[in-house]
Amino acid sequence: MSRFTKIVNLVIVILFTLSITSCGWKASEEEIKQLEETKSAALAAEKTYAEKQKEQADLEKELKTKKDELAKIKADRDKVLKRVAEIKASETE
Amino acid sequence: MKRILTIAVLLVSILAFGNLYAQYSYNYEEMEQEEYNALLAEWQQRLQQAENNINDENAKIDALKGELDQTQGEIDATWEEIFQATGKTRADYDKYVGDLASMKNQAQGILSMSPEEIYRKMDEVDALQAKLDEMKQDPFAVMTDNAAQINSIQSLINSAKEKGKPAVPPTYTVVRGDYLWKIAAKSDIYNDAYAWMRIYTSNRDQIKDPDLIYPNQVFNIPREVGPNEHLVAKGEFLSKIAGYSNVYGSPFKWQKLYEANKDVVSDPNMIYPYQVLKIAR
Repeated sequence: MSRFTKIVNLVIVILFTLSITSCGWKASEEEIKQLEETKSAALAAEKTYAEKQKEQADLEKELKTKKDELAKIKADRDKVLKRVAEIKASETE
Repeated sequence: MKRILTIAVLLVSILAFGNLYAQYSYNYEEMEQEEYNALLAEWQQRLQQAENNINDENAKIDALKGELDQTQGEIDATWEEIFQATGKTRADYDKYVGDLASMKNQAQGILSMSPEEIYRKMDEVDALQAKLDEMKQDPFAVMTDNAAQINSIQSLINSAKEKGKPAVPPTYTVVRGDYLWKIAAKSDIYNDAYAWMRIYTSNRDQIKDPDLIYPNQVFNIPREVGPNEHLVAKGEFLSKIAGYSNVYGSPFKWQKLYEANKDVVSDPNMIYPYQVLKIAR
């Protein structure tokens, strides 16, 4: 076997070895942990956001009810004041 | 043996390796760096966005809570104005509302009775109407909910009064050839000739002499005795009737009963079944 053939064979063996041992990138334990933790935190935050949205919607509904109640009680107050004035007027007559 | 041991070790190793990666959402073994970076950037962005949104929501929620407190404060202040104007308290208002609710229940109870029962309880209906009239004078009566409740009770009382009118036929028109005995015996009247006395005593304003009635006279045919009346039954006498708890509760008050019915009872020792006696209150 000539020297050239030996070198070619060696290169082929090296290339083959490199290809089968996949010398490419692989996530380290720390990187895996970072991605997993970021994902969990994002999902938890999105869940919290959804809960906050619901709380906001509930509060808006409650506020609308309260505002309606306020408008109604103000109208009632006006009627009561008028009625009281009528009673007082009839008593003085 | 050695071979089996080797295979077992191999299997355990594979399982342990599998479990290690099962807790992760991605297949990190086959993941490339670009893919990893893209995923990490995406999750970081989502986290940041969610945190920003939460902060915005918290601000909105705080503002809403503040507005709610303010509105509640205005409501309380308005109530205070009402109580000051009327000179009443929250307890008075609650009692007023509670009284209306119980009156409505009472009116519904009466309305669910038969016409005859309502007629017998007409005193109760009148008392309820009087109480409602009194409640209408209260300044609280003009408030929306109370006014609606009062209308509802009034409507129930009106329906009860309507329902309590004596059952059909309430009247009978005299035709030629009629006499009280004959009218009372009719199947759609009392189906009992002896009940002529009831027609007579119930139409005292029209019948001066029970032997003299005229065509086209219209007589009331009561089906039930009224709240201030008593239908005499066989074996009764004035002191016995006066002793009933729903009459005067004392036999010694028979004279009061006699005085109220002198127009139909000429002799206090002689009263007849089917006579309707007035109970003067």
